[in-house]
Parts: sequence; C-alpha cells; structure tokens
Amino acid sequence: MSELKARDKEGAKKTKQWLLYKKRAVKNSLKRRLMRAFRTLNLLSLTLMFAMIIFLMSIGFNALTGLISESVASQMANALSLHPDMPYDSLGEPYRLTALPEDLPEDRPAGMPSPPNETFYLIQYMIVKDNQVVYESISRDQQRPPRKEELQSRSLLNYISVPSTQRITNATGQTVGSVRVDVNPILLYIAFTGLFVSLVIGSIFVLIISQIGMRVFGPVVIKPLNELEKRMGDMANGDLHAALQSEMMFKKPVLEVMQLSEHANKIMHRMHDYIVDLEKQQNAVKDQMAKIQAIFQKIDQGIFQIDESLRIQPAYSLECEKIVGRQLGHLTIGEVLFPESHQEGERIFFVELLDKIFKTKGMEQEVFLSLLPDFLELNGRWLNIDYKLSYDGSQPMLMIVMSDLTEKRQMEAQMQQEQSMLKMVVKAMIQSEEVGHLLRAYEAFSENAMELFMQKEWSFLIREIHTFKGSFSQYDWTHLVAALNQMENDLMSSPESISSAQFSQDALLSLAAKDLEVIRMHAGEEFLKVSTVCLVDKDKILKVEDRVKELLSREESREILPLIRELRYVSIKKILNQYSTYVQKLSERLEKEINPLKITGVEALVDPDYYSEVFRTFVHLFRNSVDHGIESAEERMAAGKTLAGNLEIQVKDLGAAFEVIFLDDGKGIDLERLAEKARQKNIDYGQLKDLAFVDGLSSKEEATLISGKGYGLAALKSAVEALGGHISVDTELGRGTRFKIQLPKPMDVNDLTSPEEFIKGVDDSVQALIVQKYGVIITSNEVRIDNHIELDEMTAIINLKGTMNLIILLSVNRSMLHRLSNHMIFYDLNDENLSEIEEDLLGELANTLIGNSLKDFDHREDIFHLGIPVIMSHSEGYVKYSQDMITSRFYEFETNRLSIHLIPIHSEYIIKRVEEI
Amino acid sequence: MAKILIVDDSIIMRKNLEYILRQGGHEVIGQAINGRQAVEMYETLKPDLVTMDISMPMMSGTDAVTEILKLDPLARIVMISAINQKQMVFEAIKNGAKHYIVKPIEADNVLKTIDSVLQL
Repeated sequence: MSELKARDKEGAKKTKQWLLYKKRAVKNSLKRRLMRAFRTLNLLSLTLMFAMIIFLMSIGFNALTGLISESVASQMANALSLHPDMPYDSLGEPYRLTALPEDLPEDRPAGMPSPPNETFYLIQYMIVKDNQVVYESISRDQQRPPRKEELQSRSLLNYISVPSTQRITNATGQTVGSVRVDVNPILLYIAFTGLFVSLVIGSIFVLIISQIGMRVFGPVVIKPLNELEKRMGDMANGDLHAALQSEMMFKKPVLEVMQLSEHANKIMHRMHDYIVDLEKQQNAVKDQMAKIQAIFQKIDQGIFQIDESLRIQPAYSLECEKIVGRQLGHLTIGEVLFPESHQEGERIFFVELLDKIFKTKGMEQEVFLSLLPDFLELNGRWLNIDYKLSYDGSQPMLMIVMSDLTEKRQMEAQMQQEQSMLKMVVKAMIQSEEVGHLLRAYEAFSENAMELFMQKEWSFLIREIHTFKGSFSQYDWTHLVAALNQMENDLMSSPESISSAQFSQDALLSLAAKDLEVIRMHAGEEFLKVSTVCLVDKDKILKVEDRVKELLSREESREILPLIRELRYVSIKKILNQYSTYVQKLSERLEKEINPLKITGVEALVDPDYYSEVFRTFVHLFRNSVDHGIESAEERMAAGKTLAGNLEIQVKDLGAAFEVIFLDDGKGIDLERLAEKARQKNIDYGQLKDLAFVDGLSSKEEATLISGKGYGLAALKSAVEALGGHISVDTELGRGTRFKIQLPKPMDVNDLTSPEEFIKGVDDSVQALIVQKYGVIITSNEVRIDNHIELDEMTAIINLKGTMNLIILLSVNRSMLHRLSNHMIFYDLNDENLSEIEEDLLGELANTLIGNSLKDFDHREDIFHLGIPVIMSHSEGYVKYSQDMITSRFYEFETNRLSIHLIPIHSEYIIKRVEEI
Repeated sequence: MAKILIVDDSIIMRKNLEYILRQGGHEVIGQAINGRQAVEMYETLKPDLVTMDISMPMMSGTDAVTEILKLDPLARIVMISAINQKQMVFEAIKNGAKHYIVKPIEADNVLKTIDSVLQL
C-alpha cells in the first residue's frame, strides 16, 4: 500500500514538473526566442555602430576644422602681413553668410553672395598684436552670453574643433602679432546635431526594416519545424494508424528537420509494426477471452475460484448461479456450499480443511485435498465436486468445479426402482410356488390381524410382521416391505396410537396390492391367484428377459438371466427326448427292433426358439436311421450284432458351441453307391462324405413314405449352417453311422465383454509396471477365450470380490520370476535363497499388478475387495471350466512366460491334475 | 531418524522396506506379519511410525489402524497398498492413517512420504 502511495506521489511530482516545464516552453517558443535573439543582436550592433560613427565623426570634424582654421588663419595672417592696416573686420567678409541652410553646413563656397539680412560668419577669429587682443570677431557679432547648453556643447566642441594660430609678420618678416581662427561653433553644433539626428533616424529605420524582415523570414525558417510539430501533434491526438502509415515529406527540406523527420518516420514505422503486433496479440487475447467467456456462459458446470480468504472470485461460470440460486460475487465458499443452519458442522469442517490446504504444501496438502467432499447436496441438487489447486503468481487459488448429477441420480434411482421391480417379477416367476405360499400366509394373517390388534398382542404382531417383512424382502416386494417396516416401527414405539383400521383385512391386503399388480402386469392376471401350478406365457417371459438385459447391470443380469432363461430355456436332452417315442413308434411300424433312445451328456440349456429349425429337422436323422440304418433282426443276428439296434445321442458343451452327436450301430451309408448315383445324375460332389447331404440322392432304390427321397439330411445341413454350425458324418459299412453336429451359442454381448474389459486393465498395469518401469520388454498375444487353460510352473490365485466376482490366475515360469526379481527386490540377495522367496515374490507381483489395474475402475462406483494371493507351485496344471469362458492373456520374453487368466466366479471351476513337485 | 514398525505379510516387502528405511537413516524396530501382531508390537515397541499393508491374513491393515489408534490416538501410520483405488485409500485415511503409498514402492517416494508424515 505504502509503495503504491509513494508511486502516486512520485507521479504527481512528475506531473507538476512536466506542467512547469510546459509553461516555460510556451514562454520560450522557438519563434519568440528567434525574435528576441534578432532584436538583441540588432540593438547591440546598432549601438556599436552608433558609437563608432560618433567616434569617426569626431575625428573627421577634428581634421576638417583643423584644416579650415589652418587655411583661414594663414590667409588672414598673410593678408595682415601684406596689408597691416587693413581693417580687421573686413578680414572676415569672405566667410560671412546670410541665413545659411542647415543641410549644407560645411559647403562653404568662397564666392557666395552675402546674406541679405543677418550676418553670419563661418569662422570666428581673434587678432593679437603686441600681446594685446586687438580684434575679436565674436564679441562684436554675438554679444549675448553663452547659454548653459552652449557651454556644454562648446566643451564638446572643444574636442571636435581645432583652432589655428598664425603669425603675422611685417615686411621684414618680424612677428608683429598673431591671428587665431576657429570654425564657428554654432556651425559645428548645427552640423554635428544634424548628422547625429540623421544617424538616429537611420538606425530606427534599420531597426524597423530588420523587424519586418524577421517577421517575414522568421516563419520561413521555422516552417518545417512547425510542420513537424503539427504532424507529431496529429499523430499524438488523431488517428494513430493514419499518422503511423504516413511518411513525412517536406517541399523545401531543411537538413536538420529532414533528419529529424527521418528519425520520426523510423520511429513511427517501428511503432506501427509494434502496434500491429500488439493489435494482433490483443485480438488474439480478445478472441480467447470471448471464447472463454462463451464457455463460461454455456458450460453446464459450475466453475469458480477461491483465494486464501476463501472468497469466491468474481469470474465464475453462469451455471454457478443456477446451482447456487444466487449471485456469488464475494461470498465465502462456506456460506455458498453449506447455506443451511443445520450444516454448521460440515461447514466448519470444510472451512478448516480449506484453511489447511492453503497453509500446507506438498504431500500434506495433497492428503488434505483428497479429503474434500466429492459429493454435496445443495438446494435439492446432487453435485459432484472437483478441486484443482493453481497459483496466480504466488497467490494460491483453488478452482472448484461443480457438476450437477441430479438428473443422473434421479435416473439412477428410477433405474434402481425398475431393477428391484424386475427382480421381484423374475423371482415371482421363478419361485412362483414359494411366493404363492407366502402370499397365502399373508392373506391368512390379514384375516386374523384385526383380532390380534384388538387383543393388544403387540409382540406377536411385531414378530409376525417382522417375519413377513423379511420374507417378502427376499422376493424384492419393495412397497409391501416399506409399509410393513413402517407398521413394525409404529407398533414398537406407540402401539396405542395406531388406528385399528390399519389392521383390517382390506387395509393389509391393499399394502401388497401394488407389488402384486406389477407382478401380474408382467406375468399375467391369473398369476399367483390359484395355489400351486403357475404357468407363465412364453411371450411374457421374453419381455421380462428383454427388460432385464436393458435395465440391469451386466453382473446383475448375469445372475438373473439364467434364472429367467430356465423358465423358457429347455435342455437339448429334453428337446431330443421327444424323439424317443417317435423312434419307438416308427420302429414298431417298420418292424425293427430298436432299444429305447439313449441320450447322454450335459444339461445344456438352450433357447428352443433359436434352435427350433435344427431340432425339427433332426427328425430326418431318426427316420433315416430307423428306416435304412438299423437292419432287420435277422440281418443283425447274421452280422453278429445285438438283435435290437441302438440309437444314441450325446450332448456336449464346447464353450462357444454345443455339440450333438448322433450314433447308430446300423449298416452304415453306402457312400460308393451314392457316388455312382451322383455320377448317373451328373451331380457334382466334393468329398465322398458330403454325398450324404446332397439333395435328391438316396441309397434306397425306391423311396418309401417314411424316407428315401434323399432330401432330409440336406434340410438338416442347411438348418445347422444357417446358425453358423457344422455337420459331418462318419460311416462304416456294417458298423454304423455317426453324425456330429456343432451348434454355436448365440452371441450375447452382455456376457462376454466384462472380463475382456477387465483384462485390458490388467494389461495396462503389466505395460506400466513390467515394460515401462522394469524395462522388461515382454510381448503379448491376443486375448484368448477358452473353456480350459494350461498353467505354467507357478500360479498365484487371487479372489476379486465386488461388483464383479472373478478368480484371477497369474501364472509364470520360474525364469520370468527370477528375471523380474532384480527389479522387485531392493536388498542384497544371493541365489541360494531366491528359491525360498519365489512364492512371496509371485504373490507380491500378482498383488501389485491386479491392485494397480483396479484404478481403471476408479471412475465407477465399483468397489473391489482384493483377496490375499494363494500360490501354487506345480509342473503342470490344467483348468477346465465347463460353465463359462476363461479369458486369458499370454506374455513372453525370451524363455520367460507370464499369463493372466480370468474366471468368472458365478459357477464352479475345477482344477484337475495339479501335481506338486 | 525415526523408530519404525513395518507391517506386511510378504517377506520381500518387509525386507525391501527395511532396506529403504535403513538407507534413509531410520531405525526399523520391529516387523509384524499381520494386523494382530502389529497391534501387539505397537503396544510394546511404541514406534514413531508404522508402515501398514492393507491386505493381510488374520487382521487386515485397515482394522489394525483402528485398533492401534485406540491405543494411541496420535499414532502415525502410512498405508502401503497395491490397490490404486481412491475409495480404498479414503477409507484408510478416514480410519486415521496419515498417508498412503501405492505399490510398486520406490525408495524416494517412501522416504519422502514418511518424512512428511513425521513432520506432522
């Protein structure tokens, strides 16, 4: 502050100085200065000249008067010497004038006519004889006493007038006297004054001339300067651009001004460039600002900053006002985010935390930052809050970003509700018998409840209601459970105040009505009405299934979908079992002896609609087999076979596909004969085996009603291939026929992506840890999905529980482990005890890799619990998993191997053949 | 120079930490292999600081933190975990741990974190 003041003071002082300077400059304009210089110079030179002229004049006068008086005196002396008696006054006659014109003072021609009136002598003279003044012209001519001025001028005249005295001689040459001649002082006075006056007049004239000259020529000299000044003025006051782009040129350039203007031009050019640059920058900044402004106006996040004082800085996004419901200018963050009085505790905590964040640094600060709330409820809105610390110079600033999650949460809540509703419906469908019983029990309770209430059997009522609450919550009857919970609470706190109407049969039944209605909407009006058997329409199940896929999370649907599917799905065995009666009846008609159809293998549940065409066309297999395959009892006896023929079906689950094998021990298909027929009919065929499936070929000479047209197997083949499946035949004449049919499972995206996604996260941490941090360049193969895996020398097993349940296997060979140990062990280690700690090492590796990979799921709400690794050392391990796929990824580096396998945990897995070393 | 108790079920981690801490001029006064042992050792050894693994058999690190803080509300505990998940770390800090280190550990980071906690 004081610094600022001092700066202001200094500024004021400078301004003052500048004003003073300017004032002085106005006084000292160039023109004035020039005039003054001229004037002084003129005056000085004139004065000098004046003095000089006066001096010269004095000398001139001196000489002239001397000359005149000399010549006059010698003439007079001569005359008197020749004519001693000559009247003295006649001597002056030749020098007498009348009314002499003043301007011709010295022009004194000898023969001038005498003046008519007044006598005036050009000279005055005095004759001395025998040391006696005998004549004095002046005393006679001018009797009056000399005036004071005259005396003064006379003394002046004494300097300029030089008298002359000549001797008067007689005939013998003796000096008899002297004559002294002076030029008439009046004349001199007049002459001198006249000259002086004309000199003064001349000087004044010269002064005037020079003044005029200066007025005329002065501006000419200053003109370029003025022009420069004007241009500069324009530049300073007017359009900067125009001024900067113009070049200063003068019509009559003066060197100095030209140089000055060149410099000015140069400066202006540079200024111009600078200004253009500046404008560009300014425009860029303006653009940027406008963009930021636009972002700040439109962004749907509330963004603002606070400084150390915890006040909200004036620049914040518009959304802030929407979220907070008022302007934020200069409010403190505490009052903005925790406005309610009951939030005081939270507010104090929050403010203390912020205070610590602003006062601490580094790690400590980060820990405090991470403690700030991520979520906040404000004005009925749910906000996600992010914090970012930055520095404005040395001033720390905390940026706070609020994202409104209200809608998302509402949607989630709605989803939640729909999900639980779906679960309720599904469970009701699947466990209709149990739910039906429970409902019946509740109905019975509702009949007696009123009586119990009236008898004040509180504890019994509470127990009953509590039991129903628990039972119904198992089946997700959310509305009924909430109502029963309320009722239970009321009974426990103040049973006396409850209205008995609540325990009427109708009231209690109405509590269940809402949930029941929802179930019946999905499962049919009659559902749960009649006691035991409940049948749900297949279309309704399909609809529920679609809803489950749509609404439930992958993990939840993983649990529920198989249950729903059980309602609709049928095992392959069961579908094919329908053919056992068909086989039996057919064999009776054809008088063949055939044992009951034998069906073995897994209970593979399939969507019967999906495979309906395939299983419908299976009829041709049975028909062909019974009709042509199985021989008559006599033939069989002759061939050494059992009397009764055998048909068998084996069902296998290959993971990605089902395999159905159809066997008979009949006479087999005569492929050679079929080939011959094909040649007769000009039918192209590939392999001999393929002939069994060629249209229009039959090994039988005449088609019976039952079979033999040779079209059946072709139909089966096309049905299988339509689903992407494959059918092949093995036959041996006299031994039997074996059809192998592979049917791929329908792709269900929901079931497959999850472990793949997870293994990607694990791969990220493998890359980050092993490749980048440890510098071991291991190469990875594609993700492999299979229903069995082979394990390497050592395996760590980690259980991952949470929103996804997995068993994770990390399998390595020892050389890989030893290779990585260099990076994992900090302390000195000799080879001897490396083998002792290799299990620990693998556990640590697994823990770090899997733990690190969980950060990929940080943005989700998933919480995982990572179990402690279990380590197995074995020479060969093999995992087969019948119910689901194992997702694997393999890594290699020279002879070092590492692999990661994910096993979904919702069904059992078997580890076979684990041989300890 | 502080007296430190190391808690980890893995011998490699214990030895690594011991090595790093010794290099950093600290004294390792004890090593526990599970949460329960950690609580017992804390009571007798009274260390200046504890490094605590999260997932251990018998008693988890998170539970051990709660138990130790019951004995000594001023105990300085640094969590060490491979689980790079905010919620998990948040949980430990809320339970009273002062700081956390995410595996894989690095000597610099370990010492820096421990020094900053010792200065608290």
